[in-house]
Amino acid sequence: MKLLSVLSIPCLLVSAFFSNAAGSKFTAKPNEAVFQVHGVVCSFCSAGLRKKLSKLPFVDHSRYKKGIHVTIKNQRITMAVKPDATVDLKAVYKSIKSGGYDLIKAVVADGKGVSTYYDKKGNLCIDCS
Amino acid sequence: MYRLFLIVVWFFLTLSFSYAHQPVMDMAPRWEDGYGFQFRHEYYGSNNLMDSDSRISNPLGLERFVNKTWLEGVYTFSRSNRITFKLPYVQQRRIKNIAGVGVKQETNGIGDLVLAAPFKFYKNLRANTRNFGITPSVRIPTGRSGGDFPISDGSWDFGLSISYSSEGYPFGKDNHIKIYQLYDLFYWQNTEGKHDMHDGNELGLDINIGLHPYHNDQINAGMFIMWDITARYNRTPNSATLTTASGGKRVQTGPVLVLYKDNIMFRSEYKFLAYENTRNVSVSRGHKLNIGIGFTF
Repeated sequence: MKLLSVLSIPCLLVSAFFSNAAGSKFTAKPNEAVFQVHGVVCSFCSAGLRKKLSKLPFVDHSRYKKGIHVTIKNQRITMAVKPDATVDLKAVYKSIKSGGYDLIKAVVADGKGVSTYYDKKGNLCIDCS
Repeated sequence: MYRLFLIVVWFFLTLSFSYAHQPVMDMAPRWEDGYGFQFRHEYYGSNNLMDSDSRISNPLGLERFVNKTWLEGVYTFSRSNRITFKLPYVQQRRIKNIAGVGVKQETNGIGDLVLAAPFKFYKNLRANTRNFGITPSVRIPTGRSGGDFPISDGSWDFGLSISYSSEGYPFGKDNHIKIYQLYDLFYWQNTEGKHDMHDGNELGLDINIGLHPYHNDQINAGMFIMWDITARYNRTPNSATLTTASGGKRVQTGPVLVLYKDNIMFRSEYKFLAYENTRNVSVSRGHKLNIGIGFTF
């Protein structure tokens, strides 16, 4: 009986607290790129993403932390891009994979804020916003 | 009642940790060429004398207390392939019944080195990451096996674990609070060591279930609150064994608190003895405290 009581505690923990958060629009600010990455739910586990992505030459280290901001609430990575630099999506995809995660889609905004969307294979995507 | 509540809260906030027998953290590093290490202190022991599942009188004052300070490390080749090590520094003391007299014994020293090669198969879903793991391990007898209170039985032992862990929103929605769960079933095949000692084989199950209720993206810090259930079945050591090994079945359980910031994770854990059957007359394992801090790079 004592054991049953003890085992019931995790069940109570699991059943506690659920509420939906409003979904946010998939956009990027000027000179930024945003990546939707599946599985990013723990910042401690996703430290490798910052480590890998921040090494890319077009990342602007003067913004965010080493140019990368991870938002685990919606599993998105925001990358600050150097002005007039071109985002090498293949390099980004490779870095995310080696960081332990899987990229789903991306949006890259140039200096004027014009956004271009890409799917998980790096192809242009009109339904990814 | 109020004092009991304060004691529970105090334990919850200041003591306890760790992923059972798994080296370093289960969750990280999962990136290529990632590495990490962890210092972990473990304490258990008791002066309760058990006969099977009953506490009996202890006129000789028999007891056994063990402190282990672990250095643990991990290197990640890819998110599926890692190697790990664990090396304990052991401080142990006991009062043992020798010819009807309670004799106090103490030993300090390096324990057995554990090497493992976890293979993890990840599945990343939208707001959920999960992995299934298989971990072969070997325990190398680096601990001292001589004297009347050895640290190791001096044997090479072989382990295998299968595990499953997941973290995320169980119903696939963007909830505020995520659920973490870990299930780890393992078996250690102990071989006969020096001086005919044989600690006995071990079957174990570790369960961690809990919440990830707080995370701050701006400072990259947060916390987990979990509950740990540790079940062990140990074969009875042979009569030549002089280590602290003891046979029997036991379930220890208790709260876990994990705090993290950037690449640093702190975990504390307190487990009380929920069930124990020593199968013969033996000192109880008692409660267990675990506290550790880990770094990943």
